[in-house]
Amino acid sequence: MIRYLLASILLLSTGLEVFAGTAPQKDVREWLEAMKVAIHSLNYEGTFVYLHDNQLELMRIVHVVNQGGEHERLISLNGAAREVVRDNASVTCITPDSKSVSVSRRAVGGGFRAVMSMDLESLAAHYEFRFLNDTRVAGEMVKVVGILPRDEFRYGYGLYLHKENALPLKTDMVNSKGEPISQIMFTSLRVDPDIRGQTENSLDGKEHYGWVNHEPLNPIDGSGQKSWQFTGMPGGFALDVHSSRTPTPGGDTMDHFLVSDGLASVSVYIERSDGEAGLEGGSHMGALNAYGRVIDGYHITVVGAVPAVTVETIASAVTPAAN
Amino acid sequence: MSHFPVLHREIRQGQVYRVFAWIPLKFGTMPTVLMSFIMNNDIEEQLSALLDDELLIDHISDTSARISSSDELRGAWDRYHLIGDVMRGEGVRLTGPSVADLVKRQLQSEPPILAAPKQSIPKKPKQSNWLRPAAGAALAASVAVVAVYSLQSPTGPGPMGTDNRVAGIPAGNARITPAAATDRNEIRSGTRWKNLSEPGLESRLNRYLVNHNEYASPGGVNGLLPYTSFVSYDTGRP
Repeated sequence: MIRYLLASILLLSTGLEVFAGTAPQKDVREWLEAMKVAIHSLNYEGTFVYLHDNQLELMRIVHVVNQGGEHERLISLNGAAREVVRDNASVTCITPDSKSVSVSRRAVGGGFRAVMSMDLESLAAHYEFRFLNDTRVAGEMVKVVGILPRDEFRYGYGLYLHKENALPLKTDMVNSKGEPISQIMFTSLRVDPDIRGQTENSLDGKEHYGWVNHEPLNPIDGSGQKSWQFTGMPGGFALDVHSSRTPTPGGDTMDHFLVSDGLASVSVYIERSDGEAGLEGGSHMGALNAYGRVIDGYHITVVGAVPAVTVETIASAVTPAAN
Repeated sequence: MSHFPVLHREIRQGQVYRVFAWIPLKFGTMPTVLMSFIMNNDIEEQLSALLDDELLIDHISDTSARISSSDELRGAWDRYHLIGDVMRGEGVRLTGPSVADLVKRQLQSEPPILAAPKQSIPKKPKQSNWLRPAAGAALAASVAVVAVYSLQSPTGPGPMGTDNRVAGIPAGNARITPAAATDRNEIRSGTRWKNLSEPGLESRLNRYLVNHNEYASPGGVNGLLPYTSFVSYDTGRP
């Protein structure tokens, strides 16, 4: 019986290897799945450099999973000690330079994003997935997965995954020409189940800070609201999520549409202008791009880590739906 | 119109050394943008004199006319005011396609200069009118660069301090940083939203951004650090 079992295992593993050899994308998918699981399930702390534009920054991250769920603390080690503390209930952004704390309660059932599976087959029309040469990052051997965009409407990635735990020790974001837009690289990373209790924020002198509380942006009944449609979006991008919300009590509703090609995502926010200034034209911050326009007294603002041409095209695709 | 007399006084009190410590250039290795400043003709000298209230009254009308008809001279006029503002320690807020951006853009197209030759630092201003177009324009460009980086590094040592010297080598960064290669021909010099017409727009965009981060990357590819850009965002805000 045991011999049969061993033979079966051997056969199975051989079969997997053959399968992997003939269909490398399966292996890529497995690596990407392993990466996502590792990011959300492991306890780790590390220091990484973040290179974007002409700037090089140093940050520290602590990630702990316990009975209460995920807890994460991200702090800038350069300049003002900006900090973001996340758990399943809230996102707290601390900005010592402006003495402000912003606490956003998460919507019920929110928490960290669910680890969604990636459909490489449908993504293959817009991205090329392949292994690049193995190398070494932060003293560790890494498997390198390249996700290369096939057109100018999206960015690609180079993911340098730890060979044992699949955490991304280095992440390159590249444009359609393969040129880096931003890079993140760990200089040290410790993965240890005993890391705990270090994800509390380091706020001193709380009384001197201005506190802003954002209540959960729970979806509301959007019936009777102005409706919108999207026509002529870049290839592969489709409407993913739509919610209609009231950011402030008694205030106007804000429509939020999430548009995605399965990998990159772009948010479209639509608010009544009410005389407030809205973005008109393009803006960018690092790899993030935004584009705004006004239609029928509504501000349309598109934000996402995609090229400028993408946010502009999506903004142009928004039109009022005929009721 | 009294910017330059004040400037001269401050320079005579020795503050010029602090500025010149930030000029990692000598004429032989100077980028072309500075050379063009230095090789400029009499009009810039007249411009400087006008700012100093030292221009002969007969020339004022002519010089003013030339300034109003020339974008380049108006830019020079702005630069000279900038020098005065910076040296008096007044808050200088550079917005839009300022001279600093233009100078920086030009510097980025120049070969990187990684060291400051000692001989480029004048030991002592020997001429009372040394701040004439040549040195003045070089100073303008250098101060402009210092101003840009002092605005972006308010929490570090003072902009004139030697500890910040690394931050004063942006030209090198542009060459050695692969991330500088973007698909747009723009200067992406900072970590704040660019090209905004109204200050209030920034907070609105950040509100959107924080919200968007909760949904970003459905594939989880950059799920490790969706808030990296936020923590990084405007660390250089004054």
